[in-house]
Amino acid sequence: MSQTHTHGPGTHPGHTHGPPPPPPPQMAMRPPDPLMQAVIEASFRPVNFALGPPENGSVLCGLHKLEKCEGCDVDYTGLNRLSRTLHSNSNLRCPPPPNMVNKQLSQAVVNTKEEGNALFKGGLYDKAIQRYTMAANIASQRPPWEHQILLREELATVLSNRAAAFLEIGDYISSLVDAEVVIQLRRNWSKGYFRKAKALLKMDRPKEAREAIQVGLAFDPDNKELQEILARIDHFLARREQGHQSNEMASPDPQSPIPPAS
Amino acid sequence: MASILVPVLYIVLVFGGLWAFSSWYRKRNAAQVYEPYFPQHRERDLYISLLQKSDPPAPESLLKAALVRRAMTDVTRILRIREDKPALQILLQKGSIGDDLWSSVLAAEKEMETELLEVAAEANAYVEGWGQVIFQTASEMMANERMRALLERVPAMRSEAGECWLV
Ligand SMILES: [Zn+2]
Ligand SMILES: [Zn+2]
Repeated sequence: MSQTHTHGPGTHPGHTHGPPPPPPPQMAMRPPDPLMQAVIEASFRPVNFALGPPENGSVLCGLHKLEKCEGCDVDYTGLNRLSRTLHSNSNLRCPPPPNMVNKQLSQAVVNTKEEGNALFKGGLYDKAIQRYTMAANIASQRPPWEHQILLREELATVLSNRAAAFLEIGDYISSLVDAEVVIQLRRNWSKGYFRKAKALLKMDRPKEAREAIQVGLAFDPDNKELQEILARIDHFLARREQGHQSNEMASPDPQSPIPPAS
Repeated sequence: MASILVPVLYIVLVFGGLWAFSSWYRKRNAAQVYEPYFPQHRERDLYISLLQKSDPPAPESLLKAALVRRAMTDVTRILRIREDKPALQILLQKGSIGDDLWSSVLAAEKEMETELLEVAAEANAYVEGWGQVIFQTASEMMANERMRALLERVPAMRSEAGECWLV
């Protein structure tokens, strides 16, 4: 590797430098293999379908004229939704690259979530829940081709806050479910495990709460919030083990409401 | 009697099992070339069927949407191959799987290479440069759709969690 010149992108050097480089990761725009093209062509099976509204812009099953049909084992809802989106945005000739982001929508999610946070801090938990639900619905209206991280973070944050609000009004099941969804959305975010543990403690399921915290700590070992709650759960379990139930029945979590994340 | 019966039974079970397996295995290998690794590519079939549609023809927005759905299936399959291949290679070296399964993965991989080139070329025919983006779009769309589906499942998850809680 004594040469110091470079090859422009996409240019093919007429000489080599020592050992041959590894083959380029496919998609180097080679012409497609005609043999494989023939295989693909031979595997084609025509689909029996019908065109539906608006303006023949949707696909329905051929037999029953349904968008989603169990009898025909087809579901064209995703296809038709995208077709409608492309059709109604006539300035879009194709889905834009994922980094083209609808900033207005992001702002609407943030605003709605912050309204929820203000209501939460004022103790109006029911109203806060409504706002968080609305923020989640706005977020899920993002164009489907936008970078997944946007929807992921928006939903996780909003649902984490909603889990906290559900906990405050005593709806522990809804709180637990939201926490579970937060975990599924962002597996390495400590908040989901924290919310899950809080709900489980309220439901008097301290062992499961402990398990949730341990999973969270596996992702984020230095997380103070998780470490603290783990210590409290362990203290509580040890006391219970010793038979000190009588005046330790209160759940081991702090009594003050937890302010929403952000 | 019992002291003899036990080892005999053992031999019958072990060797009988082996014999049954190897004869089944040989018959199976002789009978088939190999099965395709993936089921029918229905999104590709639909896209091509839409292209062939006339009177009335499918509008372009629908064709483009169908091409994206085809690319989504492709992305799923590429990820599957990438995930399965190393594990299958180990199993092949150990002799735990036959050559037929291995051959079908390799064939699927080759077919997918051509499939990706074809989809990219189709995309570029609609909009110059779209072929470089369509698979990225497809993978974002899959992730976003999964998240929307998860959000829609929340009410069902609540009633399930509630039922567990009652028991
Ligand atoms: Zn050179
Ligand atoms: Zn049908």
